[in-house]
Amino acid sequence: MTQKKRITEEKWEQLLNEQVVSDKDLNRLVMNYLVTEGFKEAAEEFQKETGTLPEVDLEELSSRREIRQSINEGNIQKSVELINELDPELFDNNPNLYFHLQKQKLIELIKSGNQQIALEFAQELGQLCEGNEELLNELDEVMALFTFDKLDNSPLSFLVDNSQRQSVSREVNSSILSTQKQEDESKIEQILKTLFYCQEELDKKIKFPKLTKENLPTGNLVFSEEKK
Amino acid sequence: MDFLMKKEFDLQCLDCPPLPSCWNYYDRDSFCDIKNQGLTVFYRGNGQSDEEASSIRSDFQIPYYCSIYYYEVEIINSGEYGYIGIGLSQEQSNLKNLPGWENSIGFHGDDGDLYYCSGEGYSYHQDGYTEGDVIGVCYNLMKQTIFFVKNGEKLKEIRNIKYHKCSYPTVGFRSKGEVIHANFGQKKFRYDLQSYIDEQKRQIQEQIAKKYISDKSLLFSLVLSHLICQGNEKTLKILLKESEFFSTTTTTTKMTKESELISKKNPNYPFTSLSKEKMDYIFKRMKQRKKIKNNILEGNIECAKIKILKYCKDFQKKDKALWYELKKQEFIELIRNGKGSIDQQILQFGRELFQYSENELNNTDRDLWDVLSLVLYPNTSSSSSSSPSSSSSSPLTNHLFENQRREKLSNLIQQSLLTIDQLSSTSPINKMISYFANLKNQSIKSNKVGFIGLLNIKKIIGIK
Repeated sequence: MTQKKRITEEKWEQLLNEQVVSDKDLNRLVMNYLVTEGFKEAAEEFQKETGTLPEVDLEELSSRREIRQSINEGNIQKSVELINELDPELFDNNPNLYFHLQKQKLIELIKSGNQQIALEFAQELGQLCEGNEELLNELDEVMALFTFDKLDNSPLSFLVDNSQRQSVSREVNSSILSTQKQEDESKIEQILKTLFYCQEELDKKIKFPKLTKENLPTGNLVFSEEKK
Repeated sequence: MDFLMKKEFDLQCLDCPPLPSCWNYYDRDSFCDIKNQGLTVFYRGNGQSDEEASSIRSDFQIPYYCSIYYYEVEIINSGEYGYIGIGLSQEQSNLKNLPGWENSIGFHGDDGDLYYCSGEGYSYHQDGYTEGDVIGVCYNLMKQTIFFVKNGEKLKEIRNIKYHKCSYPTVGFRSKGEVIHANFGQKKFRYDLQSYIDEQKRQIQEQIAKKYISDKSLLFSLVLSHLICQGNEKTLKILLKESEFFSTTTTTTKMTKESELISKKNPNYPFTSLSKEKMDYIFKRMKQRKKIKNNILEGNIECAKIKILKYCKDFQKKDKALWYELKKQEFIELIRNGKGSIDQQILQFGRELFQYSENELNNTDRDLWDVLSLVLYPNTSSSSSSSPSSSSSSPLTNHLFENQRREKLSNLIQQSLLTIDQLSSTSPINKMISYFANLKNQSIKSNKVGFIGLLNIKKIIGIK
């Protein structure tokens, strides 16, 4: 077995200093982060402070945020209206998304204790997904909630949990972003993940100073080497 | 030529072994005759028996830094029987063979069979190939698989194909009149290689996505660190407010993001769990650094020095070299403000500067002489650029009055001030990207590049 090649810290630092990224490009990455994560005001301020252009419409950012907020509050009707305002074709292109929102609406109705209205709505929903086995199965799952008295003690408690709202909210966010041809992961995040993967791959070949999660933000690359 | 290949293969390596570019006159069986800048091969044998089988290899082997390699061959003349073999072979393996029979792999035109290190082949593509067809060979070094392409259409992918057996593009002939012409990247390929490459990338990216979950806290910490380092205090302030950084509870109705927000405060990462007081201190220091930066850029070195000492009272001791640079700049500014007249104060300062360099630093630098010689050529046009026509200004010293000098000094000071506060001296995002680029270079040099070879780092970052 050949001995692994070793790169010293000094050599590594020297190599690092030879690569330089311009401020303009760094700023673009930061702007991309702020926008993807939905920090509208920070993005606006960043634009003023550095002159970097957000490459998306910041107004659209706040609509997206409002939509997410209303879903997280359980106000599905409002979120549907907002979505239609933002992108009238979104539901046409994503029928499953529409169903998931309506399913959440049903869950909220059941949670509110209004059995009669909930049942009526459930019937409407059943008609909506006629013929679609997958969706009908999902609907059946929700219907089972009617049989329980204490919803959050039942085996289906995950449906009434906040995490269910968040999951719908994430789905909506992704769909909107992909129609806008934006990615729902910031570039920095993509770079980070790829970097950790490639680091692991290279580690199999040579010994070298590595980047860990803890030393990444300080930028002080305190190199840790594993003993193999 | 290489340009096309490099573009196809996303290569960014400058001093790496070259890609195959043509057939090798010195690595062939005698019946192979090359023409056309080494790209066309004519079989000159009679094709009576297997002893007259004849192969030729390319000039260079597939470099180890290639994650995916591809080349194409067009059958110009299928000769008497179209008994041609196209593939890859081991260095120095016997050329009195068709590729595939021994230490090589080959796809044969007559029977459509695939041969891998054996005289016995197995059925690969029923119709084989003949005159007019364009056959491609694609070797995926990452997965150690190979597939052939016929007229732009991908055929079955075969696994477990060892690189050392298949490192040289090779073609072989066996019947009279056979002629082929190769494309090693000189012109566009018939096959849509880019889609295959993209598909490979996508598969690996899926793996990455599954393996590495989003760590919002880490990202947030990274961005905070960057903003602090770059001095973007206004943005930082608003970001902290918008992300409800200091609120100890976040009610679901008021949240701007999902509960990922709470996870942003991971005590393992710097900055994310700082108290308001600590954050205020950070802001205070940022403001101080900014004022120092502005002072230097304006040329007000005296003020800058005072502020620097307030920021860190031991600065003069801690960073002698930099303090020295400050003094030199102060001298330049004195001359500039003196507008051509040299008075005692300036001369005295010059003497002190010289003494300082003698005592504190062990050598005097060339730059010092330029700076001191300003005493002889004190004139510059009033503010920025120099006026070479003036008799008391010199082209040798005009550069000292350029703004660039102030900027450079300011950057160095900022880095030093950040280091004093144990912050990153350059943006951690910059470091991350440099690190990434470096990983790629090291991977390329390490004899097996893998996935990272497919990545175009500039494109990922979005640099045009």
